[in-house]
Amino acid sequence: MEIDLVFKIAAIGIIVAVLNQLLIRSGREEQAMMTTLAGLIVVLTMIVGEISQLFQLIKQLFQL
Amino acid sequence: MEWIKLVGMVLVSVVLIAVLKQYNPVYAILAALACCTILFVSAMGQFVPLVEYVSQLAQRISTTDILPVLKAVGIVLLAQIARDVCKDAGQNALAGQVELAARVLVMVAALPLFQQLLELISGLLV
Repeated sequence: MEIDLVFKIAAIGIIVAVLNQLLIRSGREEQAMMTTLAGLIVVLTMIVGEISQLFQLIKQLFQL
Repeated sequence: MEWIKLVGMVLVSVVLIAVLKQYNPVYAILAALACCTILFVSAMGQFVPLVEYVSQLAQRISTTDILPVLKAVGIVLLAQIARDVCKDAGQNALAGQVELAARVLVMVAALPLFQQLLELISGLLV
């Protein structure tokens, strides 16, 4: 739950963007779309963990 | 010192999000969401003693429990995060809906207070 989460997301985003361009230039549009989806799923699973932690904290703090 | 770390983190992530927005806008939204979550959790760390102190003060003044107020605050804070993230992503309609839902829920949470208010007023009028 520190800033390294933001760094990880930024790194994945940039790497996926570069891979995307690489694959598109070499004529494999499908693989490019696949890698983008894969990267998105990885980041989403990380974020969902943090969001569930946030919701637990709010429920516990505010007795919601 | 904790506060300076947080501000530094925000500035760094703003720059990162700007870079991400250029290459991959979807990840910019996710990075912004992650940063909001981290900041909110660290801000809530200082919130528990504050709530205890306020409830002690409230008990001294009147017998009413501040639970409805606390629920309302929780709902509003969460709705604010959701609304702002929706606005950043460009979804103004969704932001409006989250705001509407939050208002309804706060009204529901504040119902016990309304009852007490009505009883108080009717007591005064008799």
